[in-house]
Amino acid sequence: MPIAFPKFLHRLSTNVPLSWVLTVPFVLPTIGAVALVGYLFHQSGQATVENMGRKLLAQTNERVTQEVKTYLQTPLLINRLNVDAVNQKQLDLQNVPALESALFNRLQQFERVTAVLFVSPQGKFRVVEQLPKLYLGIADPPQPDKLLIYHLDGQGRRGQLVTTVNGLDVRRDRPWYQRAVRTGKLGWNPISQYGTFKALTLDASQPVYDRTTKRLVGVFAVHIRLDYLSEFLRHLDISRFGQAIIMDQSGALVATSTPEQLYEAEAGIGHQNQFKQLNINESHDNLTRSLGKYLYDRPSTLRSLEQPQDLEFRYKGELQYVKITPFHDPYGLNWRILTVIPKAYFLEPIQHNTRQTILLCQLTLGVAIGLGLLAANRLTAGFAQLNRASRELAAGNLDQRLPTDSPIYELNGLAQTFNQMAEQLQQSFDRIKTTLKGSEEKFTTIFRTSPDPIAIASLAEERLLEVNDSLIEFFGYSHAEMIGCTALELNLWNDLNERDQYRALLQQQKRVRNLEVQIRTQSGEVKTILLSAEIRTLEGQDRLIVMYRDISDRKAVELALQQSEARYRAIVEDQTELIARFLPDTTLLFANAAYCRCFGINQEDVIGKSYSPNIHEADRDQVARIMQSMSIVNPTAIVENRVISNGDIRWMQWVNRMLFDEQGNFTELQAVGRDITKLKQIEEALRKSEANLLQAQQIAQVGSWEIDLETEKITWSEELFHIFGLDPAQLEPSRIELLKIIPDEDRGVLNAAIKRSIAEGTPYEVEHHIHRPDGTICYIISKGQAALNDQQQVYKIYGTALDITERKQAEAALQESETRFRQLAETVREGFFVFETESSHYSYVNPAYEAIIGIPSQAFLREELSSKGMSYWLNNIHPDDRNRIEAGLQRERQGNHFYEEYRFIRPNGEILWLLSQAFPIQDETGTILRIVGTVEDITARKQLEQSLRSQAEAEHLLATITQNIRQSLELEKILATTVLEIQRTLNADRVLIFRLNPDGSGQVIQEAVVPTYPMTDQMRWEDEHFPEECYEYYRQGNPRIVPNVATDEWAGCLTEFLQEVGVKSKVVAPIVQTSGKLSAEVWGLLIVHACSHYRHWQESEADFLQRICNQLAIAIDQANLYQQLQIELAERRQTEKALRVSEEQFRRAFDDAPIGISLISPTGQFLKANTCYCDIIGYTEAELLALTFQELTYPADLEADLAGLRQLVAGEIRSFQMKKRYITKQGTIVPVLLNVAPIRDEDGQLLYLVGHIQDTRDYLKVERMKEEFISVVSHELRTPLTSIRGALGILETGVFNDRPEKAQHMLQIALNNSERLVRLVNDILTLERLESGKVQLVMEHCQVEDLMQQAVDSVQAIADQSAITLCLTPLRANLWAAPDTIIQTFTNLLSNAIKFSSTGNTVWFKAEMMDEQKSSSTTRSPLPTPYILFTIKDQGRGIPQNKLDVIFEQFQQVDVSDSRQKGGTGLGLAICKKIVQQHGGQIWVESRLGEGSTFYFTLPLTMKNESN
Amino acid sequence: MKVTKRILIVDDEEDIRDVVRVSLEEFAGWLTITAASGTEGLLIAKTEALDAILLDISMPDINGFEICEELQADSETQMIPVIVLTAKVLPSDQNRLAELEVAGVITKPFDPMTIWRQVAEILGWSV
Repeated sequence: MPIAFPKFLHRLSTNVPLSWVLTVPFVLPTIGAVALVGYLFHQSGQATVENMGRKLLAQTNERVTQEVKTYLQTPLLINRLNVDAVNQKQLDLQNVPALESALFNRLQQFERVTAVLFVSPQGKFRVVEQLPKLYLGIADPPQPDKLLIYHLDGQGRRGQLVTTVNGLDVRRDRPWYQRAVRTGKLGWNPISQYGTFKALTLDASQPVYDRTTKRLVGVFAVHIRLDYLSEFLRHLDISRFGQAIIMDQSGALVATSTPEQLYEAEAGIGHQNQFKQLNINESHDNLTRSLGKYLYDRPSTLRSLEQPQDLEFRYKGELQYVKITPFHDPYGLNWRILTVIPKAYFLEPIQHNTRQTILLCQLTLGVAIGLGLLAANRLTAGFAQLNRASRELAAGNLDQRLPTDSPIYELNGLAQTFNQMAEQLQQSFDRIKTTLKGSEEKFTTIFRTSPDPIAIASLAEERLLEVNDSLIEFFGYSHAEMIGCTALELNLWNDLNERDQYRALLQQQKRVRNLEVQIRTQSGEVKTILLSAEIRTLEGQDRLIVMYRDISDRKAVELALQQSEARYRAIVEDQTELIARFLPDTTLLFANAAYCRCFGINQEDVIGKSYSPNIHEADRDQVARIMQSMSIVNPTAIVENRVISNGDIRWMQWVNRMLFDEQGNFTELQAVGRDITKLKQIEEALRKSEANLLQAQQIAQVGSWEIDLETEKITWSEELFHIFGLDPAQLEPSRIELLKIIPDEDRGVLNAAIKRSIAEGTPYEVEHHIHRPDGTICYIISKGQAALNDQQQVYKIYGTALDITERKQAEAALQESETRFRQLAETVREGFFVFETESSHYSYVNPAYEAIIGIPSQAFLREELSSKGMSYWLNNIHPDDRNRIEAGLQRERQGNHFYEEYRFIRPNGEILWLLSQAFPIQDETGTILRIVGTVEDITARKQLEQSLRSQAEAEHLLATITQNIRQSLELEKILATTVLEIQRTLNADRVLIFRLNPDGSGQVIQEAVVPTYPMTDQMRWEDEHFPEECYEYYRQGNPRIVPNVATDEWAGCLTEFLQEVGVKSKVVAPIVQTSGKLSAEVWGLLIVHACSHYRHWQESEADFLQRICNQLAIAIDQANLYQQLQIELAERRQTEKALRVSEEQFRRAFDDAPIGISLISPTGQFLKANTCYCDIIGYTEAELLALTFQELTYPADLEADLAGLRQLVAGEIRSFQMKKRYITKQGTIVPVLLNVAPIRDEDGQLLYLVGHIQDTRDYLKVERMKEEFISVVSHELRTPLTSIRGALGILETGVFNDRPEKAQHMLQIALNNSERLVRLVNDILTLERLESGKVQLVMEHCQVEDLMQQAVDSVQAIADQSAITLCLTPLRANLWAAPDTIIQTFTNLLSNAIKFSSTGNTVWFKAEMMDEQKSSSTTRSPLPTPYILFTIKDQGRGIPQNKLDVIFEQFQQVDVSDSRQKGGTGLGLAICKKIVQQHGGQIWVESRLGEGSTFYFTLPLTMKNESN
Repeated sequence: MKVTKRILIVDDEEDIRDVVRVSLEEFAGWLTITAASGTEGLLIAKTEALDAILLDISMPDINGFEICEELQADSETQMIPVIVLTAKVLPSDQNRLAELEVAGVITKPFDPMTIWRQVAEILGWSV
C-alpha cells in the first residue's frame, strides 16, 4: 500500500473542487482566530488575577507594616522623653508627686498606651494605668512587693484604694526591669499578658543613670496592648475573604484578623507567668494552622526572611496566594507579616467571562462557515458554466455565449470577456479562410508560368509530383512522362557524383543553392545548370521543391575567353619591355615578368595594390598631372619618371595608353616602360658642366664669344647676353647689329683692333662702352684672339668681354667726392688741417684755420706756414693751458683722439677760446702717417657759459638765503648769513643792513666787511630822514645804484659818513614790509659798498639784491609771526597746564571717590564709571561702556528708575534718589542708594547724567544685626515678663485661693522671673555702656591680689551651696585697671564655673605674670609683655568645640535652657570680653566635653607705664 | 456628648508652660499635653490625637517655624490647627509668621484670663 497515499495526495492537489477551495481557507482561519482569542482571553484573565492578588497582598502588607511601625514608636518615645526629662533635671525622681504627675501626664499625652511605669533600684515603684479607667500603682521600700492600687481622676488626683497586690516585686518578677538593667539600653521585652486582661501586651523599658555617678537611678517602662493590632488587622478589607497575621520569627502569633485568642494562660497577677503564646501551627483557625504547617515545611522562610516573599499553597484543594513580609526594628523586634487570599476569590468573575467567550466563539464560527459555503456556491455556479462554454469553444463550437446576469460583478466581467473572445475568434477564423484561398490561387499561377524550370518531388524517393511548363520544355519530356518518375529513372543526371554531392548537401543543410551540375535532356544534350532545392511542408507532407537555371551558353563563352587570354598572356610575359595595366585609381591589375624583374617583386605581391609608392616621391605630382591630362581625345602619353627599385632610383620611360569601355568611360590604363637610367645620367653630367661654366662667367662678369670667320656665325655665352642686356633665349645679334650697340667713337677702335688681330693673328684688348637696350651705358674690356687652323690660317676669332661699368662708376664718384670735400673745407667756419707727421708739415690748412689762428702776414708767408705752423700755434697757447695741450699731443702721438679746449693769444693780444680736435691716421703697421684736425673758435660760447655760471651762483645764493629764511626763524641769524653770503658772492667790500625804525631813528644792525675797511660798528642815527621822493622810491620796492657816492643827490647827509668808512660806490635795496599793514613801509635797507674802486654795478646785481630784500621782508614777517606765536603758545601752555591740573584733580576726585559714580547718556549707555562703581557692579569700566544701566538693573526696580529718568530728562525735577538693586557680573544682587542728576550745556541741552550709587549692603547688614539684636533682646525681656504677667494674672483671679501650694508655685514663678528680668536689664545696660564707649572706665592702680580676693568673696556663698571648693592662686602685682569691671569679670567667670560644676568639684582661680619666655605658648596672638594671665578652670560638663568661639557673643549660651536653670542672661561672657578688650587684653576658652573648661584672659601691665 | 478638647502646648520655658496650662485647664476646662522641646512636640503631634497646638517660636532644638513646616508636610498632622505663641513682635518676625499657614498668633506677654478665649475665637470653638 505504500503507493496509495501519494496517489491520493496527487488527486487531492489537482482535483480540488472550487467550492472547497473557497470555503476551507475561509473557515479554517476563522476557527483558528476564534480559538486563539478564546485562549488568550483566558490566559490574560489568569495573569490579571495573579497580578491583582499579588498587588493586593503587597499593598496590605505595606499598610500593616506602616501601622505597626507607628504603633510601636510611641512606647519607645515615651521612655526617651522620660529619661531626657530626668537627665535635663526637668523631672526630679526624688520628688514623688512630680514623678506621679509626670507618669500621669505621659498617659494623658498618649492615648494608646496602657501603662507608664517607673521603678528605682531601691524598689520605689510607680505605675499609672489606663484600662481604660485610670489607676495608680504604688510600691515603696521597705516593702517593695506590696503594691497599692488607687483610682485616679481625670486630673491625675489620687482617689480610693482599689486593691493591694502582695508578692509582686516588679524588679524580680517582670522581665522589663531585668532586661533594662542587663542591657543598660532602651529595648523591647518579651510579649506578655497584662495583668488579668485578656490581651497581649508588649512593653519597652529604658534605664536611667545618674550623669555624674553613672549609677542606675531607675527604669522607665511603657506597656502597649497588642490586641489593638489584631483589631487593626480585622478592619482591613482583605480580612473579609482572606487573613492577615502578625507573628514573630519563631512563629508565635502576635496579632491576627481572626477572632481567636492568641494565648493560653492562667489568670492572676504576681504569680510566675503561666502565660503561653499560641504558635501559628497551633491556631484554632484551620486556615491559619494549615498556613503555619505549610510555613514550617519551609523553615528558611520563617527564620531568615530579609525580603518580602510571594508563596502559594493549597487549602482544601483551593489555591491560596500568600505574601510574607519581614518586620525588623532596631530594638530587637523580628516579626513576620502574613497575608493570605484564596485565588478563587478573584477567579469567579473570570470563569463567568470565559463561559461567555466560548459561547460567542461558537456562534461566530457557525455563522462564518455558513457564509463561506453560501458564497462559494454562488461563485462555483458561475465558474462551472464558464468551464462548460470553454470546453465547447475548444471543441470548435464557436457560437458559445455565456449569460451576463450573474449577481457577482467579477463573474459578469468574466462572462463578457469570454463572449468577446469567442466573437473575435469566429471573425479571425473566417478571415483566415478567405485569405488562404486567394494565396493558393496566386502561387499555383506563379508555379505554372515561372520561366525557370521548377519541380516538386517527394522527399523520400524524389519522385516528381508536379513540374511546371518551363521544366517540361527544358527537358523535352511530356508532363505525363515526368510525373511519378525519379530523376534517376529519367536519366537526368549526367554525372552521378554530382548527384551524390547534391544529396549530401540536402541532407546536411536541408536545402541546396545554385549548385552547378550537368544534366541530360531527353535529346541527350548535356546542359550546365544551377540547381536549387528546398524541403517544404506542403499539405502536411514534406516535399522537395527543385529549381533549375540553364547556364550552358555562358559557360561556352567563358571557355573561349580563357583560351584567348592565355595566348595574349604568353606574348606579354615574354616581352623585355615592362608591361602593366592599372585601374584609374592606380590599382595594378597586371604586371608582366619584366615588370616584376625590374622592381624585384613577385606578381602576387603587387597585383591589387597601387603603383604610386614605386614612383619617386619628387615625380609623383608630375606623373599625376600627366595622367590628368590624358583623355579619350588624347589617350596616349609618354612619361619619364624615377622609380624606386630595390632601394635604387631608376629612370623609366613609360608609354601610357588609356582604355575605355563602350560608353567611353575610362576603365584601364596600359603602360609599357623601359629603363632609361643610363641615358639620364649622361644628360645630367652634361647639364652640370654647362651650368658650372655659366656660373663662372656670371661671377667674373665675363662673357665669351667666338666668330666663325667663314660662316660669320657668332656664338655667345649666356653671360655675354647679360652684359649686353639681352635675352639669352634669343639668338645672338649679327655683326651689323652688334656694331650698332657700340658707340661710334669706340666702334672704329674696336674694328681696327679686330682687323689687326685677324691680320696679324695677335690678341687684342680694347676698352669701350656699349649702349644697352634699356638706355644704360656699360663699359667693357674686350679681348680677342685669332684661332689658327692647321694651315695656320685664321679661321675664327674668339674672346671675352669684361664688364667694368662698376669700376668706372666708382672712379667717377671718387673724383666728384674729392671736389665736394675741397669745396666744403674751403667754406666751413671751423679751421681744418692735415698735418703730415713724417715731414712735420701741414699738407693742408683751410682758410678758416688761417683766419682763426690769425697768421701774421709779416711774420711768414703762407708757404712758410706749412713748416712753421706747429711751433707758432704751440707758442701762442695761453701759458696756463700749454702743459695740458702738450700732454694731449703726447697722447695723440700714441694714436689717441685729441680733444681740448684752451686759450690762444692772437698776435694782436686778443685771447680766444679754441676747441681743437685731431685724429691720427695710421697705416697697417700702426705708424701714424698724418694727423687730421679741426679748430673751432668757442670764445662766444665760453663767455656765455661764464655769464650763466655767475647767474647760477646768484640764484644759488638767493636759494641759500631763501632756504635759510625758511629753515630758521631767528631774524638775526638770517640777516647775518645774508650779509656774509652777499659779500662773498658779489665780492663786495662791505654789505650792511640798515634798520629804519618806526620812530624815525635808524641803525646798522648787521654788517659784513672785508678786513681792510672799518666796521660801521652798529652805528645809530637818531633822526634819519630821507627825502620824500627817495623814501617813496624805496617804498615802491626799487633798488638804487649809486655809482659815486660823492655825487649822490639823495644822500647829502651821508657823504661824510661814507667817506669815513671809505665808500666809493654802492647799491641800495629796500626791505619793504607789506603784510598785515594797510600801506607798505620801508623796514630797512640792504646796502652793498664798493670801497676799493668805483665799481660799475650791473642792473642785474641791483635786481638780485632787491630779490634778496623781498625774501628778507618775508623772513621778517615770519619772524614777527613766530614771535607772536611763541607768546601765544606760552600762554596756551599755561592755560593747558592749569586745565590739566584741574582735570587731574577732578579726575582723581572722580576715580578715588568712595562712592560709585558713573556718567550715563540720556539713553542709559554708560559713558564713564569710577573704580568704586566698577567694584560695586563687578564689571570693568571697559565692559560697562558696552552696557546700559537698564541691563544691569534688577527687573523689578527698572520701572521706577526709568520713571525718574524721564522726569529728569523732561526737566521736571532737578535730581532724583531711589533705593534700587543692580545685578552684578557675578549674578549677585546689590542694593544701592542711587542719586541721579543731569548735566546740561549752556543751552540747557541734556549732555549726560551723573549717577552716584552707594552700596547699602553694609548698611542693611548693620540694620539687620540691629533688628536681630532687638528681636533677641525683646524676646529675652518678654519671656520672663510673660511668666510674671501670667502667674500674677492667675493669682489675681483667685482660682488658687483654695489651693495655697499652687498659688505659692505661681508666686514663685513671678518672683524668679522678676529676678531674671532685673539681671537681664542690668547686663544689657552694662554691655551697652561698655560697647558705646560713652562711659570712660575709671582706671586706677589696683592690687591684683585684692581684686581676686574680692571676687572670690562674692561667689563664695553660691560655691558653698553646691559644696564646690574654690582654689585661689593669687598674684601680688600692681595693675592699672578699672577695679569694678575687673571684679565683675572675675565674678562672672567664677559664677559660671560654679554653676556648671557638680557638687564636690573644685574651681581653680589663678593669676600669673607672663614674660617673653612664658608667653609664647599661651596667648593666641602675640601680646606686649609683660602681662598677667588669669585662669579660671572647672570640672564641669565642658563646651562643645563648635561653641567655643560664639559663647563670647551676646545671647549665645551653649544651651538655651541654661539661662533658666543657671540664672544666666546670655550676656555675661559678652560683658567679660568687652571689659578685657577695653583693658587691652584677650579672652578665650579651652574645653573638653565632660572634663571641664578653662577660661583665660590677659591684662597687660604696660598700660600703667603709658599713663605715667 | 461634649468631647473635651486636647491641646498640645510646646514651649521650652517651663514657667510659661505652667501658666498656659493653668489658664486653659482651669478656665476653659480643656485637656492639655505639654512638650518641653520642639522634638518632643513634634513626636506627640504625630502620635496623639490633638485638637490644637499652641506653639512657641524660639526654641533651642527645632524652632517653631520648622515645626510648622514639618507639620504641614505630613498629611496626618497638617489638619491640626496651630496657634503661635511668641515673644517675637518685630516686623521681620511678623513677616515670617505671616508666611506660615497657622490659625493665629498670640503675642507674649498675654493675659492668662483671656488667652483661652483668644484660642477659642481663633479656632471658632464655642465656649
